[in-house]
Amino acid sequence: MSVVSFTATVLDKNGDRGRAKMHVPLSLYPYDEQSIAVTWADMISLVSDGVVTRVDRTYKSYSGTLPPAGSSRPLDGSKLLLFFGETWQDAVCIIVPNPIMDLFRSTGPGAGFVLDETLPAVQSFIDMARGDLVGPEGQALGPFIVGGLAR
Amino acid sequence: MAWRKQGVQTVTYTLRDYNGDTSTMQLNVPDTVILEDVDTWAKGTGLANLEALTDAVVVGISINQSYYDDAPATPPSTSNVERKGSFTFRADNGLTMNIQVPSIDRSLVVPGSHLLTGAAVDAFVAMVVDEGLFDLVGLVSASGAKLTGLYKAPVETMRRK
Repeated sequence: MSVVSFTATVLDKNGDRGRAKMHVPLSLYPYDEQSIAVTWADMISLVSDGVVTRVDRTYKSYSGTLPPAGSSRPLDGSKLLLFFGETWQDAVCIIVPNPIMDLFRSTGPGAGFVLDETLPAVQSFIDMARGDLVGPEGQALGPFIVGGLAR
Repeated sequence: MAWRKQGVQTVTYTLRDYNGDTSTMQLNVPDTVILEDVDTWAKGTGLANLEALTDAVVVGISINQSYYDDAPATPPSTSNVERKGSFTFRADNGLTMNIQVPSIDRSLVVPGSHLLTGAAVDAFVAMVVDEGLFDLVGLVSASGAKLTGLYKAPVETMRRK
């Protein structure tokens, strides 16, 4: 049975944090999540003299599939950076590990690599990001600015 | 104080290469989307578009939403998160589940022992095994088995540094 976890973070006098976790079944979703989070915080406060400052709801799923040997190159620290925003000041960056190198074109010797926006896979990801994702403050993503390779 | 919902949910993908090394990446989705729909998106549209860009393999997906107290109290001078209450519950699949409560209140510890006792301890245990908790369902173990009662008496534990 799949479960959803709620983890309460408890703060003590030294500023140290500890965590208390419990689970509820996914099958009966949707719950009033905030009510569960607050109830769990209240339950911990019954028996703890620390202060509950936050509760995180987490749902994890795993494919459990190991890549077959030779199917992927080793993680080499390379990242695809995709920037979205009206201006660079409000830009949001999405980072993808180990990008496929065919997605990039060189801009000249020593000048680095730029994402090829004309590729269908790139266009599809950009469309998805603009349609479905938000920035860290919940703001809508602005237009795509540029994509590049970092390593 | 009031409890607030963080303005975004995060979808964290764990990627693995054939050496077994892993890396993670994070995407933000609106907090208004219910968990089931985020899960469907993360395993469908999100996963397909991501796998078209990377040659590592996605082996894990985690969807997180945070709730926080916007004006938390100051922790009392007695508080210490290394002092934990250890509550071990029996589950209906024959296994057990341990819930650790950081900074367990020292007034609940029986003098001269590490046992926990008192009305607050009883109330906590009763709520954990209450099938009607949250009006819908009680708590379960990580594998989804219903928690049915205490497996052994709750105790205080302290990590020694």
